[in-house]
Amino acid sequence: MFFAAHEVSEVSKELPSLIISWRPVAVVLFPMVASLLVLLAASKIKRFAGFMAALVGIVTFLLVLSLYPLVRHGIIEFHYSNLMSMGLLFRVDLLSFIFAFLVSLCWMLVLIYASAYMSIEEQPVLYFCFSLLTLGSCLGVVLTGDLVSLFLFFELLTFSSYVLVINRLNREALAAGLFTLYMGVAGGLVLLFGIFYLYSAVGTVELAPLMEKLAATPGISPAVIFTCFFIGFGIKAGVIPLHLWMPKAYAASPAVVNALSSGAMIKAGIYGVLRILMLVLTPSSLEMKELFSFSISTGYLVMWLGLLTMVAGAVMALMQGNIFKLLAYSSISQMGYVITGLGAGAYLFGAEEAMGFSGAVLHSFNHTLFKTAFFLIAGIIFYRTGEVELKKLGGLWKKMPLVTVFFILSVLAIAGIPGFNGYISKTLIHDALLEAQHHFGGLDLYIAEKFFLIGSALTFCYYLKFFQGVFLGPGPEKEYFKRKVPWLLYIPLFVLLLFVLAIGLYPNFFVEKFVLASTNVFTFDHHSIEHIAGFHFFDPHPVEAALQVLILALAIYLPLNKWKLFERSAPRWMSVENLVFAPVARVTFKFLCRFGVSMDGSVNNFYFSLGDNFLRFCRYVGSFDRGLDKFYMTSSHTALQFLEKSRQFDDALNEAYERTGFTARDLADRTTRFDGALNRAYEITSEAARRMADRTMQLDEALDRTYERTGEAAMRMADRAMQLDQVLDKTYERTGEAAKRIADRTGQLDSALDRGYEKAGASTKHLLQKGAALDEGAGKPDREEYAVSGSKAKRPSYNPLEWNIRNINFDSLLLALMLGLVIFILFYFTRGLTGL
Amino acid sequence: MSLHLPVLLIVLLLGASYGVPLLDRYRKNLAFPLTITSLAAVFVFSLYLIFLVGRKGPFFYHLGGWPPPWGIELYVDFLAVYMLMVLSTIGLLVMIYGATDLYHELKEEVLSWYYTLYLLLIGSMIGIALTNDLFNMFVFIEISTIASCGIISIKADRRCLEASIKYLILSALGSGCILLAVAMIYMITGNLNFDYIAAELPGALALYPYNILIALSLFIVGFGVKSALFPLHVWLPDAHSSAPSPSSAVLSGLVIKIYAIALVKLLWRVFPPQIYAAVPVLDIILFLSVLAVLVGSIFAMVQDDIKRMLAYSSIAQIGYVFMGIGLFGSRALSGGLLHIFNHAMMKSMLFMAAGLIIYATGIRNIRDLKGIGVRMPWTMGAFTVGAFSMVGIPGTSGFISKWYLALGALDLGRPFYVAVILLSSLLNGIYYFPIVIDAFFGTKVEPRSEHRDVPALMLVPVLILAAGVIFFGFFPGPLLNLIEKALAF
Repeated sequence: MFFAAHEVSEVSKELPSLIISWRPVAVVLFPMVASLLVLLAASKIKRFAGFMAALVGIVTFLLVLSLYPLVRHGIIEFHYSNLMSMGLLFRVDLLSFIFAFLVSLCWMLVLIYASAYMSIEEQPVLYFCFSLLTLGSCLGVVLTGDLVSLFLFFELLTFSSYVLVINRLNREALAAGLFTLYMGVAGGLVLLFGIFYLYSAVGTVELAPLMEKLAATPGISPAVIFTCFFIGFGIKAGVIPLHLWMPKAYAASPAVVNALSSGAMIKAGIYGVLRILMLVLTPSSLEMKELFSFSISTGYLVMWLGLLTMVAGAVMALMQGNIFKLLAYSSISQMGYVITGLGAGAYLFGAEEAMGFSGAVLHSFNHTLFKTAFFLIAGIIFYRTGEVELKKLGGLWKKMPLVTVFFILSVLAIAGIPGFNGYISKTLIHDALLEAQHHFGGLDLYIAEKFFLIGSALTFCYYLKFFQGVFLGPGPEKEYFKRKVPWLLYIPLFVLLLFVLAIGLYPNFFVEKFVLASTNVFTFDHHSIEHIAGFHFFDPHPVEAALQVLILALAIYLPLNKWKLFERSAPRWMSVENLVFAPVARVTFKFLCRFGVSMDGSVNNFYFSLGDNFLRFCRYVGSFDRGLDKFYMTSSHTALQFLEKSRQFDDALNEAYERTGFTARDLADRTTRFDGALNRAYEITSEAARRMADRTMQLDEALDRTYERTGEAAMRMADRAMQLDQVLDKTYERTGEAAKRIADRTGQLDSALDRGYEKAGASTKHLLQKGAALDEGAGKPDREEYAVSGSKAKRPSYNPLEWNIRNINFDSLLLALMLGLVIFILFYFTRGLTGL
Repeated sequence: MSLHLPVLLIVLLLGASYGVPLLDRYRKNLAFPLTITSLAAVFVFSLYLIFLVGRKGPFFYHLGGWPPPWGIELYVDFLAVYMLMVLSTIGLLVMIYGATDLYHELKEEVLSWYYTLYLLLIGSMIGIALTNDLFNMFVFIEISTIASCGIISIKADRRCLEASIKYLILSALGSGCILLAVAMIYMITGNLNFDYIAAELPGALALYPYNILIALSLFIVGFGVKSALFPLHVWLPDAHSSAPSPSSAVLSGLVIKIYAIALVKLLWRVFPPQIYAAVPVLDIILFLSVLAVLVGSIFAMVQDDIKRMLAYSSIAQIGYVFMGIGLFGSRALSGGLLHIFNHAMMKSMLFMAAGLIIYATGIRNIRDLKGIGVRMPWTMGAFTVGAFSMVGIPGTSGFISKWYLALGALDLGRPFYVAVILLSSLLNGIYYFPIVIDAFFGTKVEPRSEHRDVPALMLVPVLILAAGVIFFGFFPGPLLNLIEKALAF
């Protein structure tokens, strides 16, 4: 044993040699190209697809195996320098090989299984094509040597696995798929941000220890980088609270997809976290102890996050009634173990880091083995019965004894019973926690260790529940066994359990030959590696821990089972989704909606007020007009009165003249009479007097005539004035009428405007109401939900044309405002310029 | 021959644009061949010019042999040949597509007028790219504005007319701003040639700071209107969605970019750099571009009409270009310039694909597009490539430009803009993915009776551009090389 340890430490000391080979490229590209071929072949013969895909899976597995002889001697590299401006770098070390091995193994077995299984699903060709594409991208993730290339395949993985999730093409699958896709894309973008940040800090994105360069760059916080990477990879790995997509996707897709997803794809996330935490954010030599401080503090947090994921996942699994959902939460919980191992490893940097590391790596591998087995078993159950609910299943052990045996063996493996592989990796992780407790002390680490035990006990509990629900108990009254299970479905299970037992019985071989040998690119302490190299897995101490877990599990399970507490599921609100994400999404959506609506509304308001003001203006003009009219009327009336008065005056004058005339005649008569009398008396003076009288009479007549004429003229003038008055009157009337008509027109225009605004207002109101209704349609906050569920008819039926303002005046106003704003800002800051 | 090549490009297109209606009077069927021949010739000449400039370096051309400051000068540098390449390639491909589509969308008697306007538009854009003279640039801007109004309103239905009137008035306001700015610059410096102005301005800055600032802000607003920078974008959705598909492709793909390039030329070559240190011109552009990137996407989400959605997406995408301009670092600017080419490819392809769908099925509403991918696999395949590129999935050209923009932002120590770019990518995904998903995996809708076969001639340009998007997604090297040289003036 000691000799082996020595050898290992020797290996880790020497620098691994570089081997240039195109084999990793072939490994990645072969399944991708083959997926196209399968598509072409399937368009001719449909039955051929499954067989071909299985064949491709086997060949890919062999190709991956062919990397091993090279990897044992060094690192394989292949570089396309001019692709995508950053270059595409393939680099395979032993750790990459381990993950590639587990991915291709899982895929090969599942594809063999699927070639028989997919006959009960509707879209086998879709499955086979895209599972091969996904295989290529998944292998790409683990075989690339820099983060940009990794990101390329990671995105490809997101998209191709989306098509796998929606394989059934029903509404539930599409909704789950879209949710998965958006989470995946969002995670990818966060990851990309991390890559940008790292690249801007150190100028490289190589998967190599970069902590020295990072520490040399001021103003860059490794915590931000790590958070980005952890969120990006954590979504794929299903770390709580980023696990939301997993139960949805698993419940909606076929077992063969879930087996791939749980067995291989989530390992891509684990691989990423591992590379970042244990490799990229560490210094390249052990001397610089202070640079490990980041790993140590982060490791502590990650460890607790892992423990939380482990326990919470297990509790959630315990509450599920759907076998696929139960397995999904089980996967989350198991990833919690791996994360805990990684965190503990990072926390122990400088002491026993290899313990956590190898526990995590081995547990990922083990999880692939037994969880794939579980999903394949669940697939067989579904194949035979068409049921996925625990309540509707039961009593299967009589009908399917072989499956029962497989299931029991897998449970023993996942529960960590000595002799099975789960025991080995759990022991390593548990020991890492114990080491941490030993190394740092403290109550928190003591609690952490107890958490681990509880999590393990709960794992056992929910599998007991699964077992009891599916295999024991009375079968349902109705006969549901409908299909005969083909023998091809059992073969992959044999292979998987063979590996399970092999690792369980000969742990040291696997740990030393693979896991520890892969540490040569990491900055690990040799002592910690040596420590594990001679690890005695079957010492009383770890076995005792396993027994503790068993007893604890029974202590939890039996009372719970007695009181039937499993039947109960958690209330709907008590999930991360309903507590955190849905409110956040709702608020965001509300904000976006409000933003659009309020902008729209403000524009509308602007129109409203514009119209209002215009209306008021028109009314004002109307009333002004009316006032003017009244003024004209009164003035014409006054003029009329004046004319009347002047005529009366004229008449009076006339009368006065007439009277004067009469008086004068009277006077003349008198004078005549007086003349006669005088004539008689004065005959002599009569002639002169008569002449004078004649003259006077003439004068009188002339005067009379003059007066008459004057009266006539005055009368005519009065007539003229009256005519003028009438004409004026008519003109005023006409003006008034025209003004009235204008006022009417304005009023009509106004009411038309008003109606238009009202209509616009009504539609806006409608939109607002719809928006509010949309808001209140809680739980389904995003447009994506609508897009998927095909219930687009539910979307508000507003006219999107209204979102854009069609009025040019407003646009020009906007333009002017913009110009003014820009000029104002520029002027405001111009003081700097004048100082130049 | 090669000496007169720069002006030959413009003269060829302008001449052909007058020749087409003349020819159309006598021989009806010769108008299109003449159009396509002249565009192809321009394409070939442009390639030759790229080769020439690559070998000998940038050179000046004096119109009519009159040297500046009297004559008009053309400057064939790397930026100009880069834009030449974009304009001639996309222009040719769109016209090949339009050959069939226009027969379907337009009345026969206006077809030759369409060719005239199209050639005028491409010719004037080439003029803007090449010219080294401020007033000459203004003239070309006016020509291109009128021509683009023409190719919108040529469909002569209510929506097109309304949209084109709106476009005409707003861009006239923009032109007014530009003209006023040109006048101000001329008032201060007495020159119209870029190089002469650039030599005068640093000295004039202390004497006439206000005039220069007003000129600058007028340029920003004027070019902002013409290239639909966010709050000035109001004309774009109407115009781009109602126009015939080839017009939409060329308007969204090329026309709004050429004004951005004109602004880049002015900001980078004419105005003195110290002005940017003293006055937050670039910050204003940056702020507007961030709004454009986010709000454009948000508006695009609620659209039902596919072309309208693409139009709003253009507003978001031009935001990236302006973000590159606003960040003003060499890497960010090269990201912005690269995005001009990438977006020209993607958006003209998407508009043409949307046009193909409308041509074949008459469907414009996004909700009715379910299951269309099974009936039109090539078209929707290309659409998918375009959508992925819009989102910025690695392996497509959209990723490269976003990569450079983000790195440029980080070079300047502004990670906020990286977050904006990534957030907007997510927003892009939210409205592009459902279309793609529904098209391929959505429940099938009964095909309408009016389903028409897609002619190969329409499909070929779309597929060429889709292939280009993927090719430049993997091998952006030559483009980046060109842009790097373009920015090294």
